[in-house]
Amino acid sequence: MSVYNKYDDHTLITLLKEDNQLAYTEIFERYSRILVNNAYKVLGNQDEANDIVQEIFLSIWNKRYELAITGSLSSYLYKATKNRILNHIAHEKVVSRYADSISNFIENDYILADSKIREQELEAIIAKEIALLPEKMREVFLLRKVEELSYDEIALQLNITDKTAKQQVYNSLKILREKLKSLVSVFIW
Amino acid sequence: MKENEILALLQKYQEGTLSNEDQDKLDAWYLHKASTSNLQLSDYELEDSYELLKSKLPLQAEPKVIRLWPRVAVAASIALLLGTGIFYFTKPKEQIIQVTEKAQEIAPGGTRGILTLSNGKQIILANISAKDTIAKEGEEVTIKMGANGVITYIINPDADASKNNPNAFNTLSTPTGGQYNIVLADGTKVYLNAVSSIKYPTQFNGDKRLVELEGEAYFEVAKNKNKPFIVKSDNQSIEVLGTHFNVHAYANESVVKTTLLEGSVAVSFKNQKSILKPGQQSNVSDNFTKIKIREVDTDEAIAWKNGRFKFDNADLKTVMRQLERWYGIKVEYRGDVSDVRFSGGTFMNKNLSEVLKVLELSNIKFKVEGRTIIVYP
Repeated sequence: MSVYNKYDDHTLITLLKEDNQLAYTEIFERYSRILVNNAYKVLGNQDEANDIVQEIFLSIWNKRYELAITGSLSSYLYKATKNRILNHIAHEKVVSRYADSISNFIENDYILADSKIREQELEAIIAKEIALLPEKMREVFLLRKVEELSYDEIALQLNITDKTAKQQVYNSLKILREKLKSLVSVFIW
Repeated sequence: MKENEILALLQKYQEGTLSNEDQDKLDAWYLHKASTSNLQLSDYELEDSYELLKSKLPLQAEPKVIRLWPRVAVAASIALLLGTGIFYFTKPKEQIIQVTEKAQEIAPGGTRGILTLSNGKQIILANISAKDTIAKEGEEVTIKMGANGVITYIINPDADASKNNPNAFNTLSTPTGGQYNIVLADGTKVYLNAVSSIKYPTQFNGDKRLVELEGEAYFEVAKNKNKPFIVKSDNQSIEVLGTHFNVHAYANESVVKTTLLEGSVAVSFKNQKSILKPGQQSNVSDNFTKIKIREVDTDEAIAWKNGRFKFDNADLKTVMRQLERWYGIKVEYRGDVSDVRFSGGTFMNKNLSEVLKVLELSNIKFKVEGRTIIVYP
């Protein structure tokens, strides 16, 4: 059923809402590993990370008709991971593992910021984690992402208005597309 | 901050009663933690997680044949244990039986497709209504949707042809349960069957018309003696000047079948080339040493295009793969069904249960569990 790995995230979500199990499977193929790794970074325990990611994917399937994803699928999944991990830490036995880290951070390093800045930080984490994927997987992953986002959408997501910064996004996107072009023949056709 | 204060914060987070500032504190900590952590699972460990999750989630895999062997082996070893006088008792695994009032009807597919433009943007073709422009490819090409959903490429006669981008390719693909029709820039009509995709240029500028197909499609190629039309799929290529033919080239079917209805086509495979006459079908496969040609019932080959399932002595698994593509189901086999063959037909707009009733006439039983169909001899 190889056509599914050519669909972008947006298309997969639309198909998922129509009960398409193969689209769901493709979302799992695309994101399960990086989400487990992300959860592991915070939890430091692979079993717990597996449980968190299992819950996320189960809930996506069970709530597929009501799913309201406004931004990108990747940031939706990362936020879901964050929410579930914070809920998990809210249990008395677990909180002691994090108490020092949380109180140190809030008392020393914390700077109040608006939600847009946090969104950008999240995007930066996603980009960093994609960069850590095994090479071939990453290339395919990026290819889909680059094909899916127009330059305007990226600028909008990063809340960039400055002209030079916009030009930079444009240039890097162009370089990335060129680099990925040779891969298209290998992976897509 | 004390542990109980943090706990109170987290509990409010769960309830959704945190102030914006406190919410931001926790978000910021989480992001800080995730971005500064040196923890990293190895590829090997990630593969473990992946396999574990895969076994626990309602994913849909490629159809698998359930083998009888392990069960025979278990039965044999139990017999052996009893025979040597050792009393061996295993508690049977508790079975979860889903009770549903009435089996859910599985609806047939319909007109659905996904169009990928040259800039990578994807358009889902599900809301069928006539539109003059659903997208443009530069100044020269307008993509239009007809009342029945057919996508047509129209070239603007006033546009400057020298500015054409020769590398502008579009892809039309269909998901499970989707079929879609398209008219290419040269007037060639393509009917795309389920789980298939075709890649084509938005206009044909060179000395040939080249398209790439995965899955199944029926072509009515517009005549143009100066520009041969070439269909590539897997390692076969078909060259025509103007004619009607069907190509069946699914990745999970071992044989690529090309059926000619009208005109003439040349099929190339590896270093061989064969010319088909109307009514003939070529079969190529990595398992064959050469191109096989036979006379066939062309109605059967293109039944799908006319909304029909038509089987002429077809083997069970081929039939079931067709149903998988159209109904989005998964088929499992219990027991040996390799000699079961079907002849007959029905309509593709029926619910699955009605189609299965037709197949049951050939001494085969089906059990429906959700979207999995279990086949018994």
